Amino acid sequence: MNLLKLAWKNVVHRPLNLLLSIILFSLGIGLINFLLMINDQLTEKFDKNLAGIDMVIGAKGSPLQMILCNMYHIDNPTGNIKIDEAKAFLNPKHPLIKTAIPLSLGDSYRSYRIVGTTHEFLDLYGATVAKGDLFSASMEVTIGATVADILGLKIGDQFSSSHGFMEDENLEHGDTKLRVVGILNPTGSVADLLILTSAQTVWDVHANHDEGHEHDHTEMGPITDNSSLLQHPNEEITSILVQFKNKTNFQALNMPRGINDNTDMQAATPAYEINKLFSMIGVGTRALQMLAYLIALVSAISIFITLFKSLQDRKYELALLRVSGASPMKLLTMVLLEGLILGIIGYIVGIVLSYLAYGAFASQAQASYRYSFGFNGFGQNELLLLAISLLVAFVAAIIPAVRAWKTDIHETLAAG
Amino acid sequence: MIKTENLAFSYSKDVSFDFPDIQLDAGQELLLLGQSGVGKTTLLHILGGLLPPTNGYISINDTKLNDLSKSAQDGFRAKHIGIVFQKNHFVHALNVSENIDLSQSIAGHAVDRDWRDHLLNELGLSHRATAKIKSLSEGEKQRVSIIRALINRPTLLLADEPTSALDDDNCDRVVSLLKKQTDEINASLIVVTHDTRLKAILPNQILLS
Repeated sequence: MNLLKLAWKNVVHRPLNLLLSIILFSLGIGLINFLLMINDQLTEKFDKNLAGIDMVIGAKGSPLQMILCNMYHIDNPTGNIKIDEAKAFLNPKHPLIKTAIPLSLGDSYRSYRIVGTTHEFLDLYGATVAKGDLFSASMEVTIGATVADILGLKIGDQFSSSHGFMEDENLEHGDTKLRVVGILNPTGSVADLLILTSAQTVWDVHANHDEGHEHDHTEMGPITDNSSLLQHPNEEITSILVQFKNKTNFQALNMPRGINDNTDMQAATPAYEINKLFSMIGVGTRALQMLAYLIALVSAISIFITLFKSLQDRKYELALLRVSGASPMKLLTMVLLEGLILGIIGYIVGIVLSYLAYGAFASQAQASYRYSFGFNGFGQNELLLLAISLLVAFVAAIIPAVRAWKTDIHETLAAG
Repeated sequence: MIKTENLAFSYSKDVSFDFPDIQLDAGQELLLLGQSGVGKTTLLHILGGLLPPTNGYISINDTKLNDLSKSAQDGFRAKHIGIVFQKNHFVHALNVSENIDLSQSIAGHAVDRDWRDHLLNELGLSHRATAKIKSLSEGEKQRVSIIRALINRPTLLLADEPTSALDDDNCDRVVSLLKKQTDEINASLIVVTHDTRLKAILPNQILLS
C-alpha cells in the first residue's frame, strides 16, 4: 500500500465531498477552456477570412455590417452601388489597386449564399476547382466544398435560388434554374460556404422583378472579369473587395476617407472594423472569464474546506499513522496527494465538459451561420490549464497538509 | 530486552512524574498497575517512543530510543514496537486487511499475506478480512488492533487498558491471547492498566503511584 493508493482511498471514501469539489473545479476549468476554444476559433475564422483584403467599398450604411456581409457573409448588405459610380476602382489600370473584386449578393439556396463575382475571387482564398469548371455563362455556378458536401449537389444539378438569405422566406425564383458546373476544393475559409457565379446570373434572376430595366447581355460575352463587367455601367453590384498594391502607401491609406467624403459610396477597412467588433464582444467574454475565475477560486476554497474538514475527522487516523511509523513528511505528502487527486479529476472532467459544450456550440453555430467550427484537439491551452489546476490544488492543500505534518501523537491520543 | 532508567516526565512545575525503572527480557511480561492520574498513559507513550521523556532513557535491544533522530525513531517504532490503545483507531477508508497491511508497508516491509491471514485466523477474524471498519463490533476492533500491533513481529508489545471495558470471561481471553501471541514471536509484553483483575494473570507487576 503506497501513499498514492492510500490518498486515493481516502478521497473516494467521502463521495459527497468528492462530488462537490469535482463539480466546482470542473465547472471553473471547463468554462475557461470553453471560452479559450471559442476565442481561438473565432480569431482563426476572422483572420483566415481577412484574405489580405485592405478595403471594402459598398453602399452607405454601417461599415461593420458591410464588412460582415461582404467578407464573412453573416449579415445583410447595406445596399447596392452602380457600376458606373465605382468604375474607377474596378479599372484594372488603377495605380494603387492590385485587385478589385466585385460582389453581387442578395440570393441564396437553402441558406447558402449566392455570390455574383469574377474569377479573381478564388485567388483571395486560394480556392481551386476540384471537379468541373468555373462559372462562365449566365446561370452557371461553381460551388464551395461545404455546400457540395452538405447539400449533396453534383455537377449538372439544377436548382432555383431564393431571394434573401433565409431558407424559409418562400421567395423562390421558381422560373429560373441555376446549374452546377464545378465544385471547389476545400479551403477552410468562407469560400467553402458560397455558391459562386457571374454578376450576370444575379442580374438575370432579378430581371423579371426589375421590369423596364435594360438587359443587354445577349449581345456581349460572359462576365468573368472586371473589363467585361465595366461594359454594363447601368447595372448594380453590392460591393468591391480591394487589395492595394502597397499596403503602406499614404494615398492608399487615405482612399477610404476620400470615398466616404466625396462619393455616395462607403469604404471601410476590415482590420479596423473587426478589431472594433472584437472589443465589443470582449466585454461579454471578459465577464464570462471573470465568472470562470471566480468559480475556480470557489473550487479552490472548496478543496481546502473538504481537506480541512476531513482531516479534523481523521485526526486519530493521522496520529495512528504516526504511531505505525509514518514520518510527518509522509502525512504531508499524503494530504497534498489527496488535493492533487481532486484537482486532476476536476481537470479531466472539466476538459471533457468543455469539449461537450464546444461540440454543442459548434453544431449550433453551423446551423445559424453555416460556419463549421473545427476541433483543434488537446493543445497548449489544455496543458496550461493542467498546470493551473495542479497549482490551485496544491495551494488549496498546503495548509491542511502542514497541519497533518504537525500532528502531535501524544496530545491527540491522550485526549482521545 | 527492554531497559529504562530514571524515566521522568513533567507537563509543568506542578504536574510531573517519576517512573520506576523497568527491565524486561525477550518474551517476558509485565503489568504496570496504577490508578488514574499516576501517569500511566504518559509512561506508555514514553515507552512507545511517542513522547520524549524529560529525563532518563529507554533502550530496546541495546538501542537507546532517546539517541535516535526523530525520523529514525519513527522507523524504529514501526519495526520494533507494537501498541494496542485503549481506543481503537483505524484508517476508515481501508478495510480490515488493508489496515493491517498498511502497518507492514509503513514499516518498509513487504506485505506478508500468509502471516496476516494466520493472525486473522488465530484471532477468529478470518471471515472479517474484507469487512469495513465501521461494521466491526468493539471486540472485533480490539482484536484487529492486536493483529496490527503484532504484524511486524515487534520486540515490544504495549497494551493500554486492554480490558477496561470487558467482562471477566473476555478479560481472561484477551490477556491470554496477548500472552500467547507475544510468546509465539518472542516479544516482551507490557500491559498498562488500572484493572486489578489482571494481577492474577500477570504475576510480574510494578505498581505506579
